[in-house]
Amino acid sequence: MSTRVDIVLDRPRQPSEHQILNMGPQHPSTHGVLRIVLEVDGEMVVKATPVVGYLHRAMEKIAESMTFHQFLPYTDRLDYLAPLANNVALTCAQEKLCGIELPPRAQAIRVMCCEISRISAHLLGLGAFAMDVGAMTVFLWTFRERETLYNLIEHLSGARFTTSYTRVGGVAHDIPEGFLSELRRFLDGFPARVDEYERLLTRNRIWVERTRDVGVITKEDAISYGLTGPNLRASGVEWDLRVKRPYLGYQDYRFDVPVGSVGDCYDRYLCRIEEMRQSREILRQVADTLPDGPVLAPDTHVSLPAKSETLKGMEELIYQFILITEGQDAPVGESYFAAENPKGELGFYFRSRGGGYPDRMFIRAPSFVNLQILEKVLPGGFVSDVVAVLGSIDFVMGECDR
Amino acid sequence: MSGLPEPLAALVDELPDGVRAVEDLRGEPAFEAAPGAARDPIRRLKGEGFGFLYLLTAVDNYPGEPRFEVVYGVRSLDRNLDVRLNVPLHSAAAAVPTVTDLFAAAGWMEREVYDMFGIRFTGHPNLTRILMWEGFTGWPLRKDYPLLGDTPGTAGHVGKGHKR
Repeated sequence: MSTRVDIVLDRPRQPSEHQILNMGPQHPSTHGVLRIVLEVDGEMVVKATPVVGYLHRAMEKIAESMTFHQFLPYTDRLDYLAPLANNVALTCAQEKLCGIELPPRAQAIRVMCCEISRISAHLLGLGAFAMDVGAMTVFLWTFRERETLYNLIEHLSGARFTTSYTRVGGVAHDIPEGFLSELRRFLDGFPARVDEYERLLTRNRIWVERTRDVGVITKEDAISYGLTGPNLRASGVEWDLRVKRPYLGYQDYRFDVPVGSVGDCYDRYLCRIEEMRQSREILRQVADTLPDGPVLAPDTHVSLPAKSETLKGMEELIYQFILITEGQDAPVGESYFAAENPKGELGFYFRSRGGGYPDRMFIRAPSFVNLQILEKVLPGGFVSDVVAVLGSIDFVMGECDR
Repeated sequence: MSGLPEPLAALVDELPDGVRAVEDLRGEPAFEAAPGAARDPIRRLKGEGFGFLYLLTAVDNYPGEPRFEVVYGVRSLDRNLDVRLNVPLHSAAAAVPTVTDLFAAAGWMEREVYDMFGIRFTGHPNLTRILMWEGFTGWPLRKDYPLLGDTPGTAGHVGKGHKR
């Protein structure tokens, strides 16, 4: 029987002998173009430096020479997994700046947009997270439901990804015929689907061992690092803008806000699962109580007049022309609006000097702020945990880099 | 100020000199500080429970002076209350002390403002470009940076939105 021979180095091994491991920007688990420079000691991460900006498109600069409506398609490319929710957030921010009231039907349709987006974004977040950790099936199953949702979105807005569905003062057009029954059919089947995902993961030993007590974010860190969305709630902070500062009539719908206790990857997973169920609950209530009425504010000084009217009336034609060429005349001053998007708080800060163009528009992108926690949470874990943490933070680089 | 919510109304007298209460367009509370004096009011607000930094950005008032404004937004999660602080900066002294020791979130947010506006945050542990690449020259979100091309003073010198 042979004896094991230790490897003899020609020089003494230094305890500080760390390797630099470059992860990304093309790594599959970075969901886009995030790069992380890892300093590793064997399998352990000692230091992590995220490098962002590969997808920077100077959206804030572009916005300064555009009317609000012209900028709307750019929001499709922010968090490109929830374009409808971005459309809603931008137009709500503009309406807050200009002081515009929405008709009830438009509000309800927007709530529907937000919640469809939330389910769709969480499904992709969950699927990609599971695939990165080795559970391929979940990814394929979540894409089955996303396909249904994308068909719904296409039916609603005419496009699957680049929706640009909202308008200042409402939405582009009313929901199409048959949309509600399609939505109801999806909602009826959805809880069983979520149960299927849970059967694959929640008590799956491999999944639990890969995620439980991995990437723990304490309550204090979550607040200090400015986390928002499910990442903040998984750390035990009950903060949801839909409840704390209801917009679009969210106060009229009954739903729960799931909150985690430990703040590890497993809690973030559980929070997203439950949020999908709650979003389905909201959607069901919206579908049942959808009010009748116009879908655009009737004031033609701020919202586009109906196309049929512009072809007949002088006044409508003039305002159509002014709104398209010069934009909504915003008052002088500043305002900030934040919406609870799937990834967290998407905020728009406007500084206006009057006229149809914002003097400055700042996009508070949840993915940008959330990613900073990597510097804190990755060191001390294994390299393989990096993948689990990235999946559980659920970021989108289009929004992070803007 | 009569319009301020309770914890802020009590606080406004204790804030350092030069801080005055203003309101934004929708009546949400905001403060305006003396040029460059960001840190003291922010620290005061943090001590009062405003421990969540949700916003840190800047505005360029070119060609006016003070040219820049750094905008801080802090939130009290318990009281469900936001307050913003606007700090004007003269272009000759475009620097403010960092708040990274108070809010970890400020690390990247301050780097972004530096990257886009060239405003320095003294005491920041790693004040480097974040969205633009290393070696890039110029400050893209300044109003005198062209929208097209990279030479100030050429076509597209300022965006068409600045025709007034």
